[in-house]
Amino acid sequence: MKTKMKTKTGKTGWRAISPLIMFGLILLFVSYGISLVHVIRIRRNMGDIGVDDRIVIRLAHFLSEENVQSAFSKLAKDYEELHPDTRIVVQSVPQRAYQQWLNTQQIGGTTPDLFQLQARGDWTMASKFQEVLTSQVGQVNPYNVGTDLEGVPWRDTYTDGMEGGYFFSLLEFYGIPMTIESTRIFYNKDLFRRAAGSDRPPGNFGEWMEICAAIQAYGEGRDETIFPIAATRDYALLSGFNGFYVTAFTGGLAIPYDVNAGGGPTTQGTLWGFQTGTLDFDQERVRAAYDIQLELAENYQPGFMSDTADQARFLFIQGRAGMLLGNTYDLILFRDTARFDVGVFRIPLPDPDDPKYGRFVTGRIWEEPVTKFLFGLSKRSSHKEIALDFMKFATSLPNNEWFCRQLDWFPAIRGAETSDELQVFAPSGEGVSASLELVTGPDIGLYFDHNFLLFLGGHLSFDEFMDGLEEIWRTKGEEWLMVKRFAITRQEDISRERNLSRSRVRVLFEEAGEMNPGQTMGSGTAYQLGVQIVQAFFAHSFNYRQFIHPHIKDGTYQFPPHSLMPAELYPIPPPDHVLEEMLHRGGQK
Amino acid sequence: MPRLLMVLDKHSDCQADALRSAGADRWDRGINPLLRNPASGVRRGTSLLLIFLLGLIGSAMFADGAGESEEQRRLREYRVLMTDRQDAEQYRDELTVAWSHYSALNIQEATRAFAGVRTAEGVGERDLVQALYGLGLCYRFHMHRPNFEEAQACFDEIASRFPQNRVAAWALMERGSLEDLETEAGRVAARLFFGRVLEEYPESLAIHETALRLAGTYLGRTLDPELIREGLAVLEKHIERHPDNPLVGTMHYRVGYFYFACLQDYEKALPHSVATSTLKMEDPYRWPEDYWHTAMNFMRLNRPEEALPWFEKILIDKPTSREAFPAKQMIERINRYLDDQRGLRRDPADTDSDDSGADLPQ
Amino acid sequence: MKNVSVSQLKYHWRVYLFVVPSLCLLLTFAYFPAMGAIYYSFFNWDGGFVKEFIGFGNYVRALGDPYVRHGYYVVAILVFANLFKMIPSIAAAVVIHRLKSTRSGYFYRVLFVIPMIIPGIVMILIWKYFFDPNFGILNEFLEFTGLMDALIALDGAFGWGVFLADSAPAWLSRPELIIPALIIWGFPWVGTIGVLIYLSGLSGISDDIYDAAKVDGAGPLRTFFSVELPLILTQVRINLILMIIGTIKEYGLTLVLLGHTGGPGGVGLVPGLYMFRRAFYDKETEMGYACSLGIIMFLIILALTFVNQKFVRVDK
Repeated sequence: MKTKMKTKTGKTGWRAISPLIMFGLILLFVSYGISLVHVIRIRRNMGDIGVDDRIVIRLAHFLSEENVQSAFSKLAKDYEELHPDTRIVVQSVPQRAYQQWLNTQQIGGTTPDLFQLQARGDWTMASKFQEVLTSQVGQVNPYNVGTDLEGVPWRDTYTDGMEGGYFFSLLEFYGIPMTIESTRIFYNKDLFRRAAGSDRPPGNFGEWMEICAAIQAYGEGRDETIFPIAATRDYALLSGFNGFYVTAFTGGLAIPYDVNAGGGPTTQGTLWGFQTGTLDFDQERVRAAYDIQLELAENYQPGFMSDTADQARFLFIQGRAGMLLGNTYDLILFRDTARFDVGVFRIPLPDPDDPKYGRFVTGRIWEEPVTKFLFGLSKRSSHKEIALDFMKFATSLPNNEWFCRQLDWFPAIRGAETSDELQVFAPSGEGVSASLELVTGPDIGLYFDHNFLLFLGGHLSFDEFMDGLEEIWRTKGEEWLMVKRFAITRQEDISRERNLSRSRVRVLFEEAGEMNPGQTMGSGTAYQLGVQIVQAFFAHSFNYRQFIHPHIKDGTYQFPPHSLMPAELYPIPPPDHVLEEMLHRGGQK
Repeated sequence: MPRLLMVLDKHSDCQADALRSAGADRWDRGINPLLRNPASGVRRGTSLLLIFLLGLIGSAMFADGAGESEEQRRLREYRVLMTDRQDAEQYRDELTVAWSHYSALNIQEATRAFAGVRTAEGVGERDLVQALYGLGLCYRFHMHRPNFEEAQACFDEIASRFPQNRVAAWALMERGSLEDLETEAGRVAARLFFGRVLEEYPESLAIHETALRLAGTYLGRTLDPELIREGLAVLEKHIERHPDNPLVGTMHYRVGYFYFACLQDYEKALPHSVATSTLKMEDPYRWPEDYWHTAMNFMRLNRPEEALPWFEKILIDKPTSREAFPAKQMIERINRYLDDQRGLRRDPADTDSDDSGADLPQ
Repeated sequence: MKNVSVSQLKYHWRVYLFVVPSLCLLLTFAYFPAMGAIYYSFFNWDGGFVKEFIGFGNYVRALGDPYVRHGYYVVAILVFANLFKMIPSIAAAVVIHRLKSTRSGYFYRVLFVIPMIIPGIVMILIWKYFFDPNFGILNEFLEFTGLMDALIALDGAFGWGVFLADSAPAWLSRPELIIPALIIWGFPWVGTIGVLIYLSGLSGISDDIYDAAKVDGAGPLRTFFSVELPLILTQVRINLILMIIGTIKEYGLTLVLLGHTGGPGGVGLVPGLYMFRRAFYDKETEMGYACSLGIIMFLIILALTFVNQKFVRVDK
């Protein structure tokens, strides 16, 4: 039975709706209509946001410091003066929300033309949403005219050949870097002067501990709460002091276990070392690397294990901590907010004649001199050429030099000058590596995260800590390396084959596009590079694990590999019992 | 010499290239008699001069083309790679659009475009082959729903209907790649397809990648020593027959690393290691790793003198790589060791550096 | 309630049509993700393209996972502690309810509602500051009231090695103090929602019952135990269920206070935090395993709710 709405006046249908409600409905629909048109317009013409006829290029990043924003704004203004038909809009999104924001923009099709990349080499998002830049980075940067880099291909103007923007999994360039990042220790010069009598940074670990003791005594003497070092659970862990000292003390120790002889540590080698009983974490170098961290931890503020990086920074800026481990981006923040002089120094190593640790130090660790602070180009950008042109402008020699000087960052372009003060941020391109890899996979990582803190807090001895770590290597390590990682490898393999197919078809069909030598990183063609990546590096890496592992287990593989190399030629000799066995098998005994 | 070249390398690639090419031949043959003790400045200077002169003389002697430069080799390989290339007949624009979609990983649009050409009226052989090939790839590499049966059908159609077409060999290779190499049945099936390419299309460019893929169905996929020998033999024979093929560097790598890491046969691995390093990896970021590997191959055979040039090459080509410092350590140790062997032990007081890293930048 | 047969649908379809949008939204944003979680729990899935069917592999792994066992052990302790933490809310509600002046009762109710506008995360951050061994007020409060000396004395007697004369206890950095810190947080544990729920229950008690109790000679305490508490047991039971579910699911508290590791030794690694870590934190994420942990959690909550419904009876 149909019913019709009736008003008291007897009107039906739309006439029954009161004028006020009708007005509201009309307003609602009109507003909706205007929004819809506006959104459609924005989506169609991303570059024209209706202010004037200028082309708009949007750039997004996640550093919220005002200086960064104003440095970008100045670059944008200078570019606009050269190109009056273009407008550059710089947008800062808080770092915590940045990735989610970017994902949403990418999926929604409203990505800015240029956007900061969070994780270098994230192939999943790159191949879908980012433009390949390989051929463009081989072009000359026109904004280097009149400088020493005039006529030099864009990528060769970088100190690292733009390696930072190269995504190894995809064999292409996807990012444009702007600076070099380094981790250093920031210190309160005023407090140093008051406590230790001088603001000179320590030259070695021994001096460093003396300064820490002086700061401690200074605070106690004045009944003030002052700590030598503001630490956080994160800095104490892998990426901070732990990574540094373990590498410095055990650098080269992985060489006998480097099955592939590729020069770097392999987690499979570590696993097989345990399985064959030839590797033991409880050796003096490893012990020393952890003892030094225990000594260092005595200078951290109590309760550091639950403190975040912000809390540590807060302590330092307040002057309640003398030192803090930070990175390149922190300097300008501290200079602006701290009420004292801020200095920087590298993480000190013990001197060779240090009675406790000297004989274990292999050398300063190698710091990858790779440029970072990358920007990618959106595939959906309507003005890719202009966006890239702006990046060329921003990364030209004079502009990169200016930009980094404004922010106290280390420049990425060759020949860009920087102050003497910032030389401390220059990465050590020469240093030790090939240290033992103690952590791999989520289970070992979880064990390490938990128990390293217990160790630093004195609740766990080194022996207990290492015994537990070795045990979990034997159980979870094998499961991770020999089973679960294969699933990831297989998926990565599909993507590499896909990329190779894109080059292969250019060998076969003219319509598939041009392919010339030297268009990729090397001097060969993309096809040759693709075949080598698929057939050599990854196939081999996959295959040798599958082959060696069962042979290790049934004892038919010589591990560590036999070698006729004389003992005195090892950079760091392996443990005696291992060397003995290797030399015996090599026929030298 | 390494230090000088490092300095030059930093500031002038052109100058470094010239010096490298002048001295490269001597290095690659592992003969470096004048560089025993890089600590000696006088010897270093003399070495420089002599090598430069030798290089100049060598270049002049071989100027008529007996030795191929890297650039020439790349150009030659490129020309070879372009020999199988064919263009479309009628549907050039449609296929161009289809490939641009595929390159941009817009697989759905690419599928539609290729399917359109496939079913177009009066489509010629070349266009149809191209469309089928593209469709096969689209079905295989669809991001979320790969369809291997359809992909197989496309490549089968090319091979069966157009066996004379240049693309047929490639289609057979693709067909073999679609088999599941995780299973023995899949590997056997793949070998049949790859075998057909090598037998039926011996002149095709596809045989090189096919040889690699055929070897890949053996190496590391099986523990049967017979089958492994078969796999290695595939590549070794192929290298023998086609020593200048565009993928020979990768072949040497595959064979060399398998002998080295898996079979621990350093003697057999050695010539392949040296060849890979001489030809240079396609990715320059891999060079230091590869030179280190070659050097360690010599070291494990107790031939440190021959390892030296490869450690030095790391310092020349990539002085800031991860391998640079360990390479420097090895050079110092090797030189000291060789001096000891020859009874040329230096004054203990005259140590340029020791192992503790005291001379490293702080 | 009358049952509506299918044949009558043609007369009432418009009514059901109104339900459809909400139903669609519910299915899309509530049920679909849940179904997705069940599906992916049978896979070795990294949240991206890596997806391998492993059947019940994740569940078998979870049942043998020491972190899962430890997590539920911690949750059991927290549930037990939260049982006692319900008491102050009840007491506060009773006290407000018994205020003679309606105006002051209203005033106190408003006072309890105002903190609701503060986001929970802010409260947790404030407590993180309270727990700071160097500047936090918890240690200062203990010093000021002399409780610290008592704790040091007790420590000496029992040999805990935690409360020492020369150092302030680090509540979030000492493994022994983490669980006590998770229990202490939120003191005096007078939750706003709880108070309001109990107040609504208490306001439903007729004055006649109070009068009758007074006539029988019941004092304030007796009135509480014999009259008020039995009559608000329905609300108590609701809060109990919500408390148990909340405690099992909760991980925001431990994430903010202790970080993604759950503190040194993983002492505070509750199941929710463990699930979060497996799903999002590690470089090699294990979303499939995290989904299985979530399904296990759901089943446990379901079982407890069933037990609660069946066996915790409220006889008025």
